[in-house]
Formats: sequence, C-alpha cells, structure tokens
Amino acid sequence: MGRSAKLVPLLLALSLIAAACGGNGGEGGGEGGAEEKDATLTFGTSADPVVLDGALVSDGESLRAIDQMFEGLVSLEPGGTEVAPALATEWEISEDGKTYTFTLQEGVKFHDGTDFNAEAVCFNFDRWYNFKGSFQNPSASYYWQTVFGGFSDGKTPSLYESCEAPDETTAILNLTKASASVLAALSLTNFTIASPEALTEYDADEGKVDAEGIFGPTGTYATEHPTGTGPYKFESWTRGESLTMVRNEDYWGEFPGNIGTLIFRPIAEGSARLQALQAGDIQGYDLVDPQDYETIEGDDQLQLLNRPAFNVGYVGFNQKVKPLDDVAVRQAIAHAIDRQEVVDGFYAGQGEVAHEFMPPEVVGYADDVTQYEYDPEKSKQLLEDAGYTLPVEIDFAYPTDVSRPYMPDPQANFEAMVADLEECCFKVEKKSATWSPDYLDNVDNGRYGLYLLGWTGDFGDADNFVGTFFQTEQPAWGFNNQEIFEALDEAEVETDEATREELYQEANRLIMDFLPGLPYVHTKPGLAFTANVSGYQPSPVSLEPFSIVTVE
Amino acid sequence: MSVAEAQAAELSLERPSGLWRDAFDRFRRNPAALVGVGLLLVLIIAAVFAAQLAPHEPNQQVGPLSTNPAGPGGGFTLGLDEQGRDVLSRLLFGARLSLLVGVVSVAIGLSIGLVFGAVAGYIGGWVDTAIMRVMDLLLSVPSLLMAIGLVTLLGRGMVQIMFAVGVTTVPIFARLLRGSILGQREADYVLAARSVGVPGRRLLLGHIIPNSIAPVIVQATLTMATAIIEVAALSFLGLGPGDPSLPEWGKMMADNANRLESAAHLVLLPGFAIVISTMGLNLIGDGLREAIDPKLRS
Repeated sequence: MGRSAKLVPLLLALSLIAAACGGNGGEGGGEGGAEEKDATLTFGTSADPVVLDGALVSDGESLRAIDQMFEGLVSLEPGGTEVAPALATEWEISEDGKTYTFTLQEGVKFHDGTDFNAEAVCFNFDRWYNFKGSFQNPSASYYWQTVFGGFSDGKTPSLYESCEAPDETTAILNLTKASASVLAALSLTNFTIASPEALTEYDADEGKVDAEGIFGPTGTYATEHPTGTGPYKFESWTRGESLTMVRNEDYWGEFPGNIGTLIFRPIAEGSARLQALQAGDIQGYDLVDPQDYETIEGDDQLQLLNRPAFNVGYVGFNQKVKPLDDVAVRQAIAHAIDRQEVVDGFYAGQGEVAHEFMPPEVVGYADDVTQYEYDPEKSKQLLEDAGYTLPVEIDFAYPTDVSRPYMPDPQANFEAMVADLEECCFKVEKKSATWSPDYLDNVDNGRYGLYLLGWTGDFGDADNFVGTFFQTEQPAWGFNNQEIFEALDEAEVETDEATREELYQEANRLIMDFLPGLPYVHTKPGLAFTANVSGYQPSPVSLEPFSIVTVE
Repeated sequence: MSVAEAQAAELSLERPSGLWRDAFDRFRRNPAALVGVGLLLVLIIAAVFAAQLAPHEPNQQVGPLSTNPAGPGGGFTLGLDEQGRDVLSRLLFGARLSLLVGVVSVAIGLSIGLVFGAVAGYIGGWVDTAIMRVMDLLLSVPSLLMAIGLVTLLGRGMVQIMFAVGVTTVPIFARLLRGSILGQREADYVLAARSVGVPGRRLLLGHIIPNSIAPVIVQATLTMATAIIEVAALSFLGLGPGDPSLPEWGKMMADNANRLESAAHLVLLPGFAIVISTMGLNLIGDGLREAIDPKLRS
C-alpha cells in the first residue's frame, strides 16, 4: 500500500514565490497579500511547557510549542485525523506489514543550517531506541513505550528493529512484527525529527530522575536549543513568563500566515486567560471554561472556535469491588444516571452524550451497540430481580484541582450523578483526591469502585481508545474477559482497513454489552481568539500550526 | 409595713452594683456591640430555623443543571447554583454548619485550654513551666498551618475539622487563663479565703476561676469568629468536609471561584455570609472587652 503526495511541488512553488516577494520590503505588497510576515501574536496557554524535546514529553503544552518548531515524517490533515505527508513525501508498507519505506522531502534544512536527510531520521530513531537509565522512565519516554514498547537493552520486547538510510532521501523503518497503527502514531509530535548536530552538541541525552520520580533532562538542548525543521525557530524562553518563537525564514514548506513572532504566555486560571484576552494582552487562548462560552460568543471583539469531539468522559467501574462484578448492577447504574442532563448542563452546548468508549469520528465506531437510556425504574427493577435490597451501597470517587476537556468541572459532574444514583436506588460513599498524583494513582491501582475519568485521543485510531482501555487486564477495571482482549488483539494487527473496521465495531458491541464502565460525554474543547485573528484550524488531536494564522 | 421593711424596699430600688451588672450596662450603651448582637441574632435565627425558613431542601435540585446558573431574582430569591439548587436555602443551612463549627471548636479549645491554664496557673512551679513551654511551642506554629496538618492526619470529616480548629485555639485560652489566675492568686480575698481554711479545689473553682474568666469569655467570642473563618479557609483550600454536597460557606466559595465572571452571586453571597457572622462576633467581642476590662472601668 502506498500513498503519494501531489501537493508538495505546489507547496514548493508557493514558498519560492513567497520568498521572492518577501524581498521587496512590502511597499504595495504582492497579489497574495501575505508577504509581510512581521505580525506578533501572543497566545495564552494553561501552563509552561515542561521541556522542548518531543521525545521526552507527554503533556499538551509542551507538545503545542514543539509542534510549531518541529516536523515528523508524517502529519495529519489540518483539522482532521487522516495521515498526511510532512517530511516524508510518500511511503510504502511492505506486504508483511513490517517494513516502512519513506521517501523524504529534498532541500530541507534544520534551524542550525545542517541538512535534513535519511541519516538524520535514523539518528533520531536510534536515539529513542537507545534511551538508557532515567530516559526509560515512563515520565520521560511515555509515547515511545506506548507505541514501540521497549528499548535496545531488550528488557521488554520492542516493536522497533532498525532504521536504514540507503540514500539521502530514503529512510527504511524495520519493525519486529506487523502493526497497523504505527503509521498514524508517527504523526505524534513525540516522533518529530531533531537536528542530530544540535542533539549532540547540547547534550540532549543527559538527564536524571528527581526524588519524586519525575524525569528532567540536564543538558541545555531541551530548554535552550531545540532545533527542528518547522516553520518557527526557538528564540527565547523565560519560565513562567513567555516562550518566544520567530518565523523560520528558510522554511521549506508553505507559510500562508503572517505571524513573524509567536509568543506563548502561561496563565493558569481559565478566568484569568479570558480577562487577558479581553484586555488585549493576548490574542488567543486554549481551554476555555464552558461557563465563559456565552461571554465570548456575546462579544463582537472575540470569537470562539471548537475542536472536533475527540475524547470521551466516562464513569469507570472496578469489578474487583463488589457488587460491580455483577452486570445487573452495572446496568442499573447506567440506567440510573441522566447523562443527557449532565451533558446539557455542564458542557455549554459543546458536548454530546457518549454511547461508546470512542468518538463517532474514529473508524471502528459501531452505530448499533446496546444503549442505556435514563430509566430509574428499570434500574430498580434490575436490582430487585437480581436479589438486592435497596439501596445498594457503592463507592464513587472524583478528582479535585483539575479541569480536563472531557470534564471541565469534575465535582459538578460527580454531584449531579450522585444525586441521580441516590434518588434511584443506591447509597453512595463519596470519595475524592487531588488529580495528580493521588487520584490517578488510586485509579490505576484499583482503589476505587466507581470513578470519573476520561481520555483524549492522540491520533486517529481505535487502538488509541478501546485498545488503551480494554486490551489487557488492568486494575482500574478489574476484569478479565478473554473474549474482549482477543477481539482487540485481532483488530490491532489487522492491516486490511475494511476488515479492521468490522473487527473494532464488533469489539465495541462486546464492550458495551459487558459494560465495563459508562461513557457519558464527547466534548468539543473551546479556543478563544480576538476577532482579528483568522485561519486557525482547530484539530481533534490539537496539532495546530500557527504558520497558517493571520492577524489583521 | 414596718420601718425596717420600708428601708429594705428603698434599698432594693438602688441596684446592687457589681462587675457583671456594670459590664452589662456599659455593653448596652455601646452601639457597635448592639449591631454585633443583631448580626449574631440573624445568624442564630438562620441556623436554628433553617428548616422552616428555607424554601427548599439544601440538596434538592429545583432548577436545571447549568454552568451559568440563574442569578438572584426570578423565581429564586438568591438564585441557583450549578446543580440547580436554591442558593438561599443552602446559605441558611450553611449558617447551621458555621455556627456549629464555631461553637464546637471553641468549646473544644476552651475546655482543654482552661484545664491546662488553671493547672499551670494554680500549681505553678515546674508544672507551670512544662505546660506553658508546650503551649508556646504550639503557639509558634501558624494556626491555619497546624489545622491543615491535623486535618491531613485525621482525615476530612466535619468532626475532624472542628477538632483540628479547636486544638489550634488551646494555647490561646491556656495562656490567657494562666495569666489571669496568676493575677488573682495573691489577691486579698484569696488570701482571706485561704486563711479561713477554704480547701484548694473549692478556692480554685469557686473563687479564682470565676474571677479570672472575664478575659477568656471575650477571647472565646473573638475566637469563634476566627474558627468560622478558619473552617471556611480549610474548605477553600480543598481540605473541607469530604462530602461535596454539604452547604459549607467556604466550600461554596471555593467551588465557584472560577465563576466570578459568569455567576458572581455564587461566590459573593457565601462570602457575604461569612463576613456578616464574623463581623457580628467580633463586634460583640470588642464590646465585651470594653465592658469588662477593669482598666477601662471608671
């Protein structure tokens, strides 16, 4: 199977025109009107990046910044989840699904002036594969471990076998077994290509783990010298204040926007970000609180953009905690919670009720799974038929000090659901803990019965949703259902797309009959901009380049 | 009516003068103190008659769930919260919690503090030194910090919180009573009582403590206000009662801090309730101090 990109020569031509026009100083301008690329945009983020090395991060704020400066072999279509060419113009997958041959873009240079070529690609892959010691900490190389498994020391098996560079523009990636999801995974910002020279010169491979088990690099590469091929170059970074990037004048690809200086400013509180936007201190920000949607939409000077729903919020059931091992109890819980009311009330019109553990946009979504409508009478009936005396006692936990796209206000969701459960037929023991590290730790170790959680997809593949949750036995869910495990194993390695879709649909039906948890919402997270900003393309996985954005 | 009886009646017209009587008179003439009494009465009435006054149950959903709940006016006097619950009802039931917290935690602090203070002050010597150094040690830790530590240790329940806040007030009461007792111990009436053979225990409980208690009462009133604020602060910091649906004022504020822009009433009203009740207690405390303090007596 191969895919070629016919777009690339056109992009090259456009960038040449842009470069030629850029020289005339801008007086009068050219026909395109985007030659003057000296505008400044300040964007409000929820936190500082951790570090600027894609291989070592898993948080959204780091990825957002790295996205502007780095590119991977493949990317995703703007605003979508289809794999699109980036540094590789085309690729071929061998019959057995174990060899990926990438044809690389020619004439690309890193920000430090060195050439991008197949050797640079292999240098990066080998770097990740050869991570040692503290770099193998899950808080460092989380995504490598998720996608490729182990490292060269062979402690755990790795999907990665080797990378070959037969010539300047051909990179061959060899895998130890077939995988259908690896191409989509290569679009992750974590697998973007960095300059080998900069990585070496600025000690990118030195780091340590602190007393709390959190990894941090000690070289200056990831904080002062991140060097990629992207449309923006690193300029300066003052922690807690601002990260400044400037346009890469020698960018190989298209740069339709006009933002020459891009500044990311961390502002922790959602309400403070809104105030900064209203005051004109920033021109845009991410993670709009749902209660602010109305204010923004009612203001002529502001605009609200929404990402497609690419997440799921759910109530997890831990079947190790009785009586959740009884499917009748799980069904009773599902019928007792008015999900529509929660979604209508707390997602400001940007949510829809979820019926599966993955959003409808992802291939493999089944339209005909068992649905659990709000019906407290049915819950009572189910419990009484199963021989329980009402109310049935359960425990239910929610996280504090956190706001996620799929649950902007966990406590509000929790209180509404508890009210529903208690009104129907349960007696709820209420529990809570701070999100990080206590709550996640408790969930991952199966210390709660019911708990609120959710997931935002990293790339457009069903494996990234249901595969993450239900492919193996996990303490959070506390069940061992071989039928589901096997169905997901089979679907993951299937390379024929039509068959794969059917396999995942079947798996989704199995899952929703078994009801390991209750999915309740898919949301469209909101971004806000001032009205004079145009061209921003919200992406389901937050791959959003500022090089296509224009400020009037 | 005999002459003697007439004289007695005449005498009784002239009110017997005494510390408490004088203090009450001075208190009554202090307008700020009377405002304080008024505010406290509002709090007490709200707390005692919450069930009768509140239009709804505190946890009853009477409107839609919403991130932008309806404000004051409309069908609900003080608006709704994000769970569609009536804010007025929650504030009234919250008064019950706050008053309970104030009274119970001060009672805990007062009773433990009084024992330590009385023992230290009356016995003196190394017992005094030992107790007071421990109290100094406790006093050197900021009270909110100590409360946070205790709640973390004991767990997040209403009882634990009241206990934690109460414990932080122990050294204040102990020091105050000890100082007061030291002043009384050598007073003439105590020496007189001792010389006629009044036993030590009765001397302490019947004479010294009643005469030393005035500054402690003043302090108790002021501490009650601090206790209410401290519990609200604990809740605001996320260490409040584990049950999120309890209508605790500090918790109501914390839960809605990010709604200041869209639904300000959810933050301002509980804040206002805290201000009213603590201001009431503080005004009363100040009034009592002015009324009782011997230095201010003419």
